[in-house]
Amino acid sequence: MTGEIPGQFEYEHLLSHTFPGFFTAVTFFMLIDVWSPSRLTELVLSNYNNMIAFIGFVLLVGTIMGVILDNIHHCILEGLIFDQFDEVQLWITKFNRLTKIDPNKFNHCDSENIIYYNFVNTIGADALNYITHLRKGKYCYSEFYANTFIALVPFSMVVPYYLLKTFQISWSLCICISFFILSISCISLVSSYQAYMNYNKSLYYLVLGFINKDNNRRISCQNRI
Amino acid sequence: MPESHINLKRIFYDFIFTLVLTAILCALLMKAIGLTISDFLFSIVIPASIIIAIIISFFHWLLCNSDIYFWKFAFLLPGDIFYYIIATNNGYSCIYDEEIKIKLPEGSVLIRPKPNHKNSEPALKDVSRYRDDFRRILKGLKCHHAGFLADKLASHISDNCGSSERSLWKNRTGALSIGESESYVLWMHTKINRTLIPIDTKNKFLDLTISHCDWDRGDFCKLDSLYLLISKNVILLLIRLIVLAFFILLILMQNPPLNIVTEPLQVQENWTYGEMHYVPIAIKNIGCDLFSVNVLNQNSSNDSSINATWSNNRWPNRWPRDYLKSGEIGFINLSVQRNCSPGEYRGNLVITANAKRNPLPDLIPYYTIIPPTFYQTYAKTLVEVPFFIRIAPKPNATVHLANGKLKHENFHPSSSRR
Repeated sequence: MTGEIPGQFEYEHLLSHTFPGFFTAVTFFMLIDVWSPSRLTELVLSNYNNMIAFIGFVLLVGTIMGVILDNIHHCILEGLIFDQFDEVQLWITKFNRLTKIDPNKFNHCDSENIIYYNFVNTIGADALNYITHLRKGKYCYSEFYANTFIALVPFSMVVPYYLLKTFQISWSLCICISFFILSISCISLVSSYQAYMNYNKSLYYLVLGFINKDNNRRISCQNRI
Repeated sequence: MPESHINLKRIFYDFIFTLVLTAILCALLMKAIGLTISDFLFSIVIPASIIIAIIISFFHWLLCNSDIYFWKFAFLLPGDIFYYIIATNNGYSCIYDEEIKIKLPEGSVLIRPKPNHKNSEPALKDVSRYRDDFRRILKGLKCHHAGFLADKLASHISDNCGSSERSLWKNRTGALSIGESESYVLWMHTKINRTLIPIDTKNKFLDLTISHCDWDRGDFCKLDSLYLLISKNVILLLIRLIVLAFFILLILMQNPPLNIVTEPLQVQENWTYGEMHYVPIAIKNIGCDLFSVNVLNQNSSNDSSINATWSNNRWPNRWPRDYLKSGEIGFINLSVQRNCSPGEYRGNLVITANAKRNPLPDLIPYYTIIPPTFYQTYAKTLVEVPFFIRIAPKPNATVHLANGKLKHENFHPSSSRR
């Protein structure tokens, strides 16, 4: 029996979930270093065993934190912030109207799941390819930007103290770096909103395309009759 | 419910919401720069929080005087609900001057019409031709969109919203092409949980869909209202947090942390009885200027023959001895007297200091009017240097041990290793 490398590691998934998690794990390490009287960075760089332990810490804690960050993103950024904007809400309403799903009974996530299952039932396994393409091409980037925003905000608060202690950079420069990182995180937030908006538009048009195709098929059948 | 009452309520809740936020941030900032919160609660935390909350609420109120910004960034109350209406022409011809009947529930009021966004509206007015392409071709109808403005609908309703008149009609002025759909947003304050607005039209080919967002009014308990108050204003909360974070960074920039590094990190020495020994420990100040620098010698036996003295490496008559300027290096001399008994001594050198803080950002040139006020931090423990000293007896000598007994020792090379 030959062993196969599982093909579960997808770049988009790593990008959206794992990398921001790694970033948070590094932030944790920096925070511990700032609070600790010892110099943990020097300790990590002192020999290979410590470096391997540090990499293991980042992999383990980063993977866990990535999933937790993603949940925070879905609950707060997506659920409480992005969905409050008119533009997004109107596209969701249009989507619900198109799919004839009662928005008072199901939330947007449930509606999406229902329509996915309908697609699979109607056009078979190919539907999954379309959906996966949409999620990889649009939604994963929205998740990546949002998770990066969540990871960068605490990072920007910890980084000046860490740089001062470990590299003894001047405090003004440390704060400037923190300003820069905070600005980058704000750009990530806006980018996430735009990507999410794009995803909702694309989802609507994807469903519209399927319904169009279905209608045309019916019309052509009626013409033949 | 008159509109002015809602606005006052909105401003009041906005102020309280902002006050709580700024008070939490002020307390965190005080902790970050090393000031004791309880000492400065009435002198800094509460007055600063109130002043910042008033400034933010006032500027927010000014911003919301504009219809566009009020619609986008107004402070939302638990009973505020947005309704999204989509009207689609499912007929075989264009629809002109159609009436849409919207029945408002009792105790509800439309807050303000949505202004027309020339840039964003066309994106929502897509042509849904999936059902009617073939009909359009057959009938040869070509309708031009005449601009059906969402704000006209809302403003009309708002102007005619009386206490007795609950059914509202809108006369359409534009044309809706075949298969075309348009959207409207109604912003309403209601007392009824999950209100569904009945909406109707006489034209059976005009398909109307109405829905509201998920975070409408929940159960009527205070905790639920508090959750709704926070969750509906998360956008404002986030924007204000980001703006305040930039201000906090500005304040932090002029108040570097109290931070020193020592070399070595710990002391471990093997010395011989009967001689005076000392080891210097360098202290580099990488943070702000330090005042009242103090070194506490906490050793296991409380022996006074082990001393730690502090020197800031400055001219003694010119500067206070307990002052260490930012970027300078000071020294601690850890010394052992001649009469220190043989044995093992463990302990810590605890270095404490305080600093002076200016919690106002150095942006506004207020220093020309009011001199800057500096506040003294509490004595913060900056670093602890552990030491372990072993005093070996002098070879071939009778010595007093740490426990007071006499002991005659023979010389052995291993006992004097360092």
